[in-house]
Amino acid sequence: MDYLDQLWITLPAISPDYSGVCSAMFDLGGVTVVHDASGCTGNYTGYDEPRWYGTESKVYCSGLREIDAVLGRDDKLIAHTIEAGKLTNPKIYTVVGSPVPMVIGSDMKGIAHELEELTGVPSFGFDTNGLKLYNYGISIAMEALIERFAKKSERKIHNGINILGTNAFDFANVGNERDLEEFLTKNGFHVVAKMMMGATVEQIQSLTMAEINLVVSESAYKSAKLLHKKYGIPYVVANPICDGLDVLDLLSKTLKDSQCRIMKDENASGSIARKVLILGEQVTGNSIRRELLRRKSDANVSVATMTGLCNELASASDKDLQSENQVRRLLGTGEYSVIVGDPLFKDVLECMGLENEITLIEIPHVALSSKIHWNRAVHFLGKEMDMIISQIINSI
Amino acid sequence: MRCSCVSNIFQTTLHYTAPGHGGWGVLKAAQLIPESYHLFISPAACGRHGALGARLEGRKNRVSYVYLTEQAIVSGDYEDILINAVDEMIRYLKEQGRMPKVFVVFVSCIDDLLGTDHDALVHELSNRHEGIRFVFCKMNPTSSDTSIPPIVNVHNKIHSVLDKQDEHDSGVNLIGILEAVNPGSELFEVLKDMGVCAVRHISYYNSFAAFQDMAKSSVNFVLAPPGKYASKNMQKKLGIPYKELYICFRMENIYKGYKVIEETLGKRLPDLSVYERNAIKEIKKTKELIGNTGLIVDGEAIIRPFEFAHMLIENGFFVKSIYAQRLIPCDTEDYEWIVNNHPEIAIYQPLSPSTCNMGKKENDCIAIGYSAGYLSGAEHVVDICGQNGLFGYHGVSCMMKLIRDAYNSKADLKKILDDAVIIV
Repeated sequence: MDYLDQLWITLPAISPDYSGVCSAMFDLGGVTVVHDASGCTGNYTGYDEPRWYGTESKVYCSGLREIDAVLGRDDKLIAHTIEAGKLTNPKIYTVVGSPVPMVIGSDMKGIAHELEELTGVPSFGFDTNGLKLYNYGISIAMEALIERFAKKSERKIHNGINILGTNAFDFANVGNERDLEEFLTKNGFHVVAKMMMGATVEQIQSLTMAEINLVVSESAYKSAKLLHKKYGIPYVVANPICDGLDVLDLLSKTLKDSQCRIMKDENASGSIARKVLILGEQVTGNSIRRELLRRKSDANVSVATMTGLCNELASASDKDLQSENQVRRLLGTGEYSVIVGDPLFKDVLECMGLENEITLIEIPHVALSSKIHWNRAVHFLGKEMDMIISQIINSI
Repeated sequence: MRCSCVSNIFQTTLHYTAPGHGGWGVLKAAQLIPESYHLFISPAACGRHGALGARLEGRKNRVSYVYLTEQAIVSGDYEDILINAVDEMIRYLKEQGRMPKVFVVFVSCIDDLLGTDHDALVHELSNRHEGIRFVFCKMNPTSSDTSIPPIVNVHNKIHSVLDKQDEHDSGVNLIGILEAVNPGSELFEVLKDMGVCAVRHISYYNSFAAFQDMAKSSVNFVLAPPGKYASKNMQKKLGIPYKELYICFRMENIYKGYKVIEETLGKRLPDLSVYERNAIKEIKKTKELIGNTGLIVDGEAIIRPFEFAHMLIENGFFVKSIYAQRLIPCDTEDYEWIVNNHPEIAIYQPLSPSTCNMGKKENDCIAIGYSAGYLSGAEHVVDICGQNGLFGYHGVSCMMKLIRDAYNSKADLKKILDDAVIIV
């Protein structure tokens, strides 16, 4: 990697992998321990978890110290975790790695194995290291939970659907996950399980009773593929926005023919000169693009993400931007006239002197701007998103 | 009477991070160095909260980040990447006409395990960029239980860029607190009366040249323990002796502190009775208003929570509980006094998993500090974090006013915490 791609001058780092795991485990009634000194847990509780205030969720820091790191005192972590667990009788234990455990080679899975041996409580260990991103953390947590808890079911629930991929980084804490459940229920679906906002261990055990999976963020795509491969549940990858009709259409088709479907548009290079770049979460980006094309078929729209582009979900013109430098380089080409993304991109535009050249339509993303803008997070279903789409169209 | 048994009360176990837990963080502290620029080299995760905190407080344009890859950590490319990144940052800052006088390189916990040679890097960087001072600083909470934890280290680093001066004047430095003493404090009048030409604190300076005036001072008054190590080093390097003058709230302790100043400066103290009377008046006014309302003291709000609680108790206030994660040596005497004379006062560790499982039930109390407010469920919360510059008799008066204000209104703690920039 070019060293310039490691230098972030203006933007903060994107939420890390260990926050992704903690967030995924948040609703499961367990005890989660981040194996770190304090700052990594503080990152998660203070800046990556909009649900932290007032929660009953038990996420702790191991209080790792130099001497423990040097001496490899995993026993201390295990003893303290069990001690904390006795206070709440957790349904699961999760131990989560951070940069120091990576350097000293802590075996988080081994620690979890020992925890389970000693307590009899299902335990999970994740070798996260703060170098990867939240979507990876959510993804590995979801897969581990499915592998552990999902059971083959003989019975299917008619129109039973699982919502896969709701998380507080991409959906914030403004009720998007409830809107989505209500939307699906209102349209004749029976929500069997939700992963991960509102998840329970019992729901995960019932996952296979659903006829279809709706994947609303990239972080859940691997889980959907796992459920398809193992249990034959087909999936649709799309996040319902505005009236959500396009997604309902895909779901209905997939229910009929059991073919997996991904909402993506290869023909998004219309004749309109002012090109649009949607820069954020990939699945929501795809859904915004579809809505724009529905209303303005000659729009020219690409989706970009800074969280690792999943090629299977991407169209040919989509961009994998792995650093602030790559964002700067792309914006500097002058190719795009409208950016749809987090308000912090305004800082980059200003820094580059492009604030008058490029229009920024703001959609806060917790994984980037955190508490700076998380109270302004957008409701994907309904009028607010409708207005944002109109705003984009008016800018091109 | 209860026998004090320090080690049994202050346990080491997992940490619970209450929404109110945290403080300035080392970056904000280091950014006090005038005309400084800061570059972190760490895993991306380590930089996130500091960058967001800086953005929230308008300091982000003075810090950038180099995010390490696994390969860079394993291969040892780390140092080359750092040198290249510093070169690039300085080129960028030069282009913007913002050349710093001091360039602070921050490393995180993993650096302690990689064994980076900071002195060699400072040498190399100084050769490449003449006229800029390079300082290495650590954000390494894994060292929190050592003799030089991050907060102690950063106090030392921010003063380490001062140069020895040929002559000293009658000025005094205030060391150990990051937020300056409230300008309304009698301390300034008292010191002026005693012939002190200037009271100096790092936060007063916008230029690096003016900041060097701190090296001219004739004494360092250490207002809180994190400043002691820095003061020892300043004594060695700059020839400035230091005296401990730890912040306190009890009248007799405040007076003793002023006697330390008298002894140190060799000048007679002015009459302090008017300041003391004012403070006592404020205490009475507050007691009259709040009566037996329970008070909950937070060790993250007050540097010496047990000394503060002692003052409240001896003035007739009802102290219900104290949240303190650990006992600092200068608070031991008051801790012992409370434990032995008021065993009914609950002492909680705010980071303990058992504290977060207690359930909130102290609705009618006044919590002094964020974590105490959150964990107790108090409806009245004094909006204070990290002492907020309260010092001496005036500090007592200000605190009393804050308590009255809190009593007179219900706090929207979520809003307070949303607005607060707290770094763990």
